[in-house]
Formats: sequence, C-alpha cells, structure tokens
Amino acid sequence: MLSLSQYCVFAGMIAVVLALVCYVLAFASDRIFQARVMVAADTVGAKITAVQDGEVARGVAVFGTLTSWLAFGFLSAALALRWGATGHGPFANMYEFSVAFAWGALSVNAYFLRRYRQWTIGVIVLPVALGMLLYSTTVPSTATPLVPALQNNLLLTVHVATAVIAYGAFAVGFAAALLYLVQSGGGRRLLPKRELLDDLSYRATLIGFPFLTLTIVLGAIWADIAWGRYWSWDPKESASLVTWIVCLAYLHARSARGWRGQRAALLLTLVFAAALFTYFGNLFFGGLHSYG
Amino acid sequence: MSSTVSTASRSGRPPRPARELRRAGVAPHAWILRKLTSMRVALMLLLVLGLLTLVGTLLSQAPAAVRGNPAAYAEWLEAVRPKYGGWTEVLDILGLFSVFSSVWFKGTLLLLSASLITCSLRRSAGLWRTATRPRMVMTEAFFERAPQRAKITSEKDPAVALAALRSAFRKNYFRVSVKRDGERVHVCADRFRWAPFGRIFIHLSFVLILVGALITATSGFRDESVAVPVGSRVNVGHGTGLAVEAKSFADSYYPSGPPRSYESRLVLYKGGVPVKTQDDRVNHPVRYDGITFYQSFFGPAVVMQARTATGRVLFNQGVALLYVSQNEKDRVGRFLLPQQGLSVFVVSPASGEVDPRIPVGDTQLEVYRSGSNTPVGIQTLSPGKPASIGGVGFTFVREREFTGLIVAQDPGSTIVWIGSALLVLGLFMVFLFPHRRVRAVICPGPGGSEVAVAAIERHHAGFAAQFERLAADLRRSVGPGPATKKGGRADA
Ligand code: HEM
Repeated sequence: MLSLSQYCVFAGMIAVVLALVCYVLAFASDRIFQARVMVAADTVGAKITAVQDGEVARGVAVFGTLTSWLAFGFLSAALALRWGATGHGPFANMYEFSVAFAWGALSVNAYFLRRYRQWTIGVIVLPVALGMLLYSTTVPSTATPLVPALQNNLLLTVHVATAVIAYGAFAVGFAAALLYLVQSGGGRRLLPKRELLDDLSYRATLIGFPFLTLTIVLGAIWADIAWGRYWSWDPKESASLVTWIVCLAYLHARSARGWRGQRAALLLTLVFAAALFTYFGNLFFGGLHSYG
Repeated sequence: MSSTVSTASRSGRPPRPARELRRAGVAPHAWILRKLTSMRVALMLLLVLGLLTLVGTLLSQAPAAVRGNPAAYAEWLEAVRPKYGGWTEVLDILGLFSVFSSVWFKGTLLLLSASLITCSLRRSAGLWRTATRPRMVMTEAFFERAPQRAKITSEKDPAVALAALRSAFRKNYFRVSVKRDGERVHVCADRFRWAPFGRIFIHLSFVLILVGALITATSGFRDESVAVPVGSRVNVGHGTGLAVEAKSFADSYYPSGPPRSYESRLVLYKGGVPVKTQDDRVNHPVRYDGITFYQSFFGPAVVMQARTATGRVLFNQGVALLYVSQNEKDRVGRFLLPQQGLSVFVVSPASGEVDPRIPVGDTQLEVYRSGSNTPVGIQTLSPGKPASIGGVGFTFVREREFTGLIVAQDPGSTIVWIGSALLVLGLFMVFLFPHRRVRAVICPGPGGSEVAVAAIERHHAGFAAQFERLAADLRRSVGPGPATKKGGRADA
C-alpha cells in the first residue's frame, strides 16, 4: 500500500506539471493571439472581437483546471493509502507533511475554483504545490514508526490537518496577492480584476487565520499532554506565533484601518513567507519539533 | 458586516469629538484612553510583539534554569559569545537573551491587554444596539443607492406580501423585524446577528489567555527531575503531601531501533495512604488532585541499604543514578544519611562503558561528611556483600531502573484553555458566519404592492451573488407578478 501511495504522489506530481503547462499555454496562446490580432489589425485592418480572442486561452485553461482536480484526487488517494498503511494520520515526518502541504494548497485552491471560478490563481498555487512535492522526493519516504511523544492519534491528525489547511489557505492568499502586485502597472488580460484579487486574498486569509489559531491551540493542548507544558517557546511554536501575529496585523489593518490593495498584498506575502519559515524552520533551528 | 455602527468605525477615523479634544488640549487620562483605543497604536503594539517574538525565535535564549543563577548565566553567555561576538553585551543588556521574560515583552503585552479591554468595552454597547435595536426606518435614498438592491412588484396586497416576504426570509435563515409607518412597512432581516459579538469574545479571550499564562508563570510548581527508582517511594513536596512510588518501568523499542514506549506503573500516596494506581505513559499522564505526573525520562538505579553498627536500618531504597561523571564513563547518584551527617555518592559504569576501577556488576561508594571535600572512604561493593565506611554498614542490594517524571501543578492552564476555546469559537463565529442585514420596504402599489430590498456589503465579492440568490427567492415568494427590474448592480 505504501508503494501504491508513492505512485499516487508521483501521478499527482505529473498532473500538477500538466495543469501548470496548460495554464502557461493558456497565457501564451492569449499573448500570441493578441500579438497576431495586433499584427493583423496593423496590416489588413482586420477586426476580431474581444470575445473570440480569449476563447482559445480559456479552452486550454479548462484542461488545466481539470488536471489540477486530478492532481488533487491523486494526492488525496496517496494520503488516504498512506494513512491506511501506517495506521496514523499521514503527518508524522517531513515526507508525509510535505505531501500533505501540497494537498492542502491544492484543496484550498480547488475550493476557490469551485466558489469563485478564478483559475489564474493556480498559476502561483500549482508551483507552490509542485515545490513541496519535489521537496518530498528529497527526504526519506519510509514510514517511520511513531516515537512515544507522537503517539496521540487524534491530536496528531487534527493538529497537523488544521495546519495543512491553514498553510494551503495562505498559499492561495499569497497567490492572489502576488497576482495583484504583478498587475500594479495596470490591468493584465486574463487576470481577474484587481479588486477581485484583493477580495480573494482576504477570503483565503479568513480561512487561514482561524485554522492557524486552531493549529496553535491544539498544539498547546498536545504539548500540555505530552511535554507537560502548554507553551515552551520552542522555535517552531514561536515561528508559528510570528505568522499568527503578522496575519492578525493584516486583518486589523484591513478591517479597522481600511488597508486594501498594494500594502495589504505585501503583508499577505509576508504572512506566506512566515508560514514557510515556520514550516521549514525545524530544519535549521532544532527544538522539540525536530522529528526529522 | 453591514451595520451602521460598525461601518462608521471601519473607516478608522477617530470620532470627531476626540479630534476636537486634541485641539483643545486634553487631560492626560483622556489622552491615554484615546491612545489605548486607537487602532494605529494597537497595530504598532502587535507589530512590536511580532518583532520581539521573531527576535526570540532567531536569537539563542537562555534556559530558565540558567537565568535564575548568575554564575550559570555568565557561563552561558561565554558559550554564546563566539556566535554573537561584540554584540553579546548589547544583547544581554537589552534583555534579548530572555526576550519572553523581558520588560519589553511583558510591557507590550500589558499595553495590549489594556488596549483590548478598553476597546472591547467601548464597542460592546454599539454591537448590542446594532444587534437588538436596528434602525428600522430607512430612507428612500437608501433603497435607491445601496450597493445591493432589488425591486419586486407584486399583485398581492401589502399584508399578504409581508407574510410572503417574511416566510421567504425565514426560509433563508433570516430573522425578521417589522415596523409600520403609515402605509409603508419597514422590514429588517438579520442572519447571524450575534456573530459580531465574536469580536468581543476574541479580544477578551486573548486577555484571558494572557491572565492564564501569568498565573502559570507565578503560581503552581514544576519539578522536571523527579526520579523514582522502581520499588521506591519519593515525596513530591511543594506542600502537596503526595508521595509517588514506581512499581515498574518498561521501555520498548521498534525492531528498527526507535523507541516505542516508556511506561511506569505509579502508585500515589497521600498521607501514606495509597490514593491512585495507574500506568504513566508519554501522552497519557497521571493526574491527581490538580497535580500531573508526566513520564519524561529514565535511567539506572541501585538499591542500597545502610545500617548502623547495631543493625538499625538507616536507609533502604533505590538510588537513581541521575548524573553522568566528568569522564562520561560512569553514572552517579547520591543519597544522604542526615543523622550521621553523611553524603553518599554511588558510582556505576554507564551501560556499555568500562571503568577499569569498577569491576563489571559492582558499584563504588564515595562517602563524604557533609560540607567536606575529602572522602571519609571509597569502596567498591559487589552485590549483597556488606562493607563498612565511616561506621555505617552499606550493602549494594541490586541494580534497578528509575523512572523520571515531570511533576507539575498549573492552575493557569484551565484559564488558558477557556480563553483558547473562546478565541476559536469567536473566530469561527466572525469569519464563517458573518452578520448579514438586509432591509426591505413594502408600499402599496397600483396593482398590489411595491417591494424594495437592499443591503450594504461593499467588501465581500461573494455577497453580491448571495444577495442575488436571496432576491430571486424573495421574488418567487412575493410574486406573482412581472419583475419590473432585475436586482443588484445590473440596473445601476
Ligand atoms: C490592542 C489591541 C487590539 C485592538 C485595539 C483591536 C481592535 C479591533 C478592531 C477595532 C477590530 C475591527 C472590528 C470590526 O471591524 O468591527 C478588530 C477586529 C479583530 N480583532 Fe482586534 N484588536 C486588538 C487586538 C487583537 C488581538 C490580540 C486579537 C487576537 C486574538 C484580535 C483579533 C481580532 C480579529 C480576529 C478581528 C476580526 C477581523 C476582521 O473582522 O477582519 N485583535 N480588532
């Protein structure tokens, strides 16, 4: 079952790459089309309506979206299989957690696709997921048995599952924020309106923040049970608190001081950077969370 | 969020009276109050808190045990000096080697709490008013200009139209209040109208968590090195009147090597009477009467007996070999014979190590008079063979294991948990169930009634679609009759 799970991760990785290729092609075809229209307009004075020209791009993008759903399906299967094989939530070592991170990003992305139908966000989210999947290939994928401190199935599963959702939401928020920043010189074709991106990044944070809070609280409960202290200023704890505080600052800046657009988007990229730092943190600062 | 009260505060501008006060020159307490409730100051405090936490994450932090002891702290500073060079002194003076107990950190938290409390108190009256006593009569201009709006023409007369409207709103989980004003019927429909109180929960819960943390830091106790040799009983102390006995200890490993479980069977005694027997495992601590026993570490122990020349038993217990000798070859434990004024060190080769002075399976005793550095005697003992040192007969009975416990009492944690629950509850309330307020007015029209529906929600792109669905539902219910206009921005 473990190797089947790994095949699924592999298939998921290929699907992510394909989806990404589709999206890039969508952008490229739109560019080329636009260029051709311009050339045509210059030479022959031909008139092609705007409705037509986006169509090719959108057609390709639909493929990308379908493939990203497929990737989501493969990773879900991979995690489920691994769960079945190890008997605990697939969140116990760096390998499992990286795959789960990619799954989180894809799942929040899928939710946003369904809810807001803005595939362009995937242009950023998919590379993030791909990065995590590639990273997962560099760490040992063997299923390590749980050391005593990790032997709490319920908390292990819920604590990390909420973290995965939170990080996925931050990845989506970051994607929308980045697309917003990219457009700062004026609207780009195919990309959603800036106001919509601004709103999407906010929506993603509204999911990410409660889940991050839940992650931290559950972590504190677990620490109290396993280490006898709910908060030890362990580096990973502190780093997650930094993420939480930056996110909190964003929410306040936005809802109480009316920050929108550029500044808000920059804060959100900071939130995602902090989340990544928290995630990779134990690689370079050790501490109680260093389970390898 | 569509209420009038919070829309006003959303802009972040201080209310006008405050501005005039500033111009007039205000009393210090008013100035402080204004600062405390200012979002800008709150944001700065949050950022300072974030930065300090980041500093605490990046810089090495002195362990708590080291901080209390000047000599140990000086040693610790020397240990980190190669890393920080000339900055060591500066960082030390600024207290950045113990950020989380520094005045900066505590001061920021204090100011933040003050800010949170004043803000929450100030806001709760407004929230209450918004939730319970909405302004019922909205102007015609409101229905003409609100960002989300719809018009419905109905053949029903106003009373029937109202009933239909009411049931359609109810079906969408809105609560409906009605006010008649001459011919016009004003309707205010709310969904999740209590959700904004989640904000008060959130802010006060944070203060609650801080209070809990303060109680944790200042009361209760935490003993991280309670070593209980198997078969022996150790007093917990700290005024608990509890003693803990280890009946057994077992460590087991996976075939591939990593540890699988550490498990002790503990018996707790209160006033000498056994009160609880339970297995103590990592992740399954034993709790009794507010005191928690965590399985934490383990190691070798030896059972020692000491008798006077007349055969009276002075000591008969396991001694945990808690320490490691300087050459790292031996494990060392210690026990006291207070009546004799003797301090006895027990030295055994650590597992896998060979100490040429101590034959395998033996143990060495070093006996000191308390306060003196020259031993009264040093002898190697074989199991079961008594030896006399300093007038006391010692017997090395057998080897055993000890189980290491963390014993802690933390009255603050309950408050932290209540605060955390409130925080999470508040967050989900505010973010997942936002308060929605939709208004409607029914007027008698030529063929029945005219109904106008409108809502203000500028900041949520998804709400426009929600409103469209609601308006369609209302239209279906309040009709029949041709819809004269489509709702929403379409007719703007
Ligand atoms: C000095 C401290 C603080 C002040 C003055 C303050 C003030 C405010 C204000 C005015 C709002 C906007 C409410 C609204 O839009 O109706 C708000 C929202 C919020 N606050 Fe605070 N706050 C502070 C600290 C905190 C802390 C420490 C937390 C975390 C536990 C927190 C969590 C929130 C959340 C989650 C929201 C909702 C944000 C949103 O609606 O987008 N606040 N706060």
